[in-house]
Amino acid sequence: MAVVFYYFAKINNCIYLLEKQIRKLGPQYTEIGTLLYFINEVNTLCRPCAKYEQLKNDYFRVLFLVKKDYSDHDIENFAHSFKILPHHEIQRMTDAWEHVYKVCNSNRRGINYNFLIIIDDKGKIIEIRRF
Amino acid sequence: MNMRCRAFLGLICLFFLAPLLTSQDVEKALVHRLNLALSFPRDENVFFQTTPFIALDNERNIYAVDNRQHVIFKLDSNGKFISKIGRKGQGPGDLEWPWLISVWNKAIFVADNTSISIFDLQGNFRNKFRTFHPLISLAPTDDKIFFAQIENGKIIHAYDYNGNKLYSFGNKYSVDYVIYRGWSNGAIDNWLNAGKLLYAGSRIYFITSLFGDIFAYDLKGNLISQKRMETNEFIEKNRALYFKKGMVNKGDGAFFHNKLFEDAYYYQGKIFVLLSSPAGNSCGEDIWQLDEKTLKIEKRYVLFNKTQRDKNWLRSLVVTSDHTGNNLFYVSLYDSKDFVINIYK
Repeated sequence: MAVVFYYFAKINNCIYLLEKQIRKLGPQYTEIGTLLYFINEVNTLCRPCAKYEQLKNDYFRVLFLVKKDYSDHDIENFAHSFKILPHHEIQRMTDAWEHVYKVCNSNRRGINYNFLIIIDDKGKIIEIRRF
Repeated sequence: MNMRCRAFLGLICLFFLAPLLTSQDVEKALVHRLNLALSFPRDENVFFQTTPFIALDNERNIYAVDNRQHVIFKLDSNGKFISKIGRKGQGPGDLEWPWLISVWNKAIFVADNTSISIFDLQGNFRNKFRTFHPLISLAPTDDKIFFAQIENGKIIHAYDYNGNKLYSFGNKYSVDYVIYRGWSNGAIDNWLNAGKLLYAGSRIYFITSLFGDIFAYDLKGNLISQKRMETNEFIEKNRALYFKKGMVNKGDGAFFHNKLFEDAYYYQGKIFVLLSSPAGNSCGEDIWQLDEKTLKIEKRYVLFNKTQRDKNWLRSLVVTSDHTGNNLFYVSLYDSKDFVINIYK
């Protein structure tokens, strides 16, 4: 029983799932510090909480994971709106990433937040910010 | 005294009394009292949970956005329920906290928390795209959609129907952010530049709701003219408050948002402005009609008396005309009991 409980606790743990998924990204994301953004909606007033302007530099690899239904125009407009540097990546969430997002986002209010995950150069999560 | 004598005396009296008429009297002569013709909802299938944003199509069907129910109610011109468009969600055809709505070219354009959705008039989903900054207003045209939103210092942005951004124009108000302690710059920009975009054939008007400035642009984004609505105390107070005095966030998140008008609408060469309750009470009027060419107030309409105006929370205005050519004013409001759409004429 304890084993089953431990197993379910593990697979519903946001940090565990994130680290597992980050490892799958490949070594280039774990050799230097990485900023991972989960972007759900951005035209809200709490948007400035995530200080991309202050964090963007060459010491971080930055990966924006946007929702699956973002069109090419959406991605282009997103990059233009936030002046995202050309070598920072924007990808649509895969099913696996979407599952991780849903686990991390689970809240009583049912609000879909954006997340900023700061990862160190060994692939460990330093901080998760919700905005 | 015969008739000729009386007419002569009358003319002499008018000649001497005319200069005694003040400009206020002349202005009062332009004030028209409108009467309530119809009030919605009149159908048990429709119950608004908040004051709806409204739009009309050519057949005078009403499209009312209920922000809390995440749907658009389609009603016929008599208020009879036709259909519900959308449902809560973020997928294609879904709406999440929708608010701004506009009908143009047999399509419905509705803005929600995450995106702009386009439906046909039957409610079938056509397209959806995102704009990434808090929206202020939207105005669709035959091949483009103009958005008012602050992005990279510009305020008006043109997109095609697929969400491809075409160009930007119009500068936001520049303000000294130091006088706003405790507020983020982005939030201040959004509050100060609040207003309404109006599409008028060959022009785009942007009217700011705090300061009553009217900017007229051509469709390529060149500024044609800029004018301030006839200055009154209300606008002057706002300018002094927002540009000189500023505001301090006391931790309660309350921002003094003293809007001159709630909504504006362009119809047949006229700009109609639905005054907010405080502004309406300061001059005793509810709707101003401005001429497109002179941008001056040419008619003033009264819907409520002072006590009614204090109770009513106005939101949205659409103007059209009936078969006799008389203007009909569709106003959505909260009358301290219910959320309703009233038609005045």
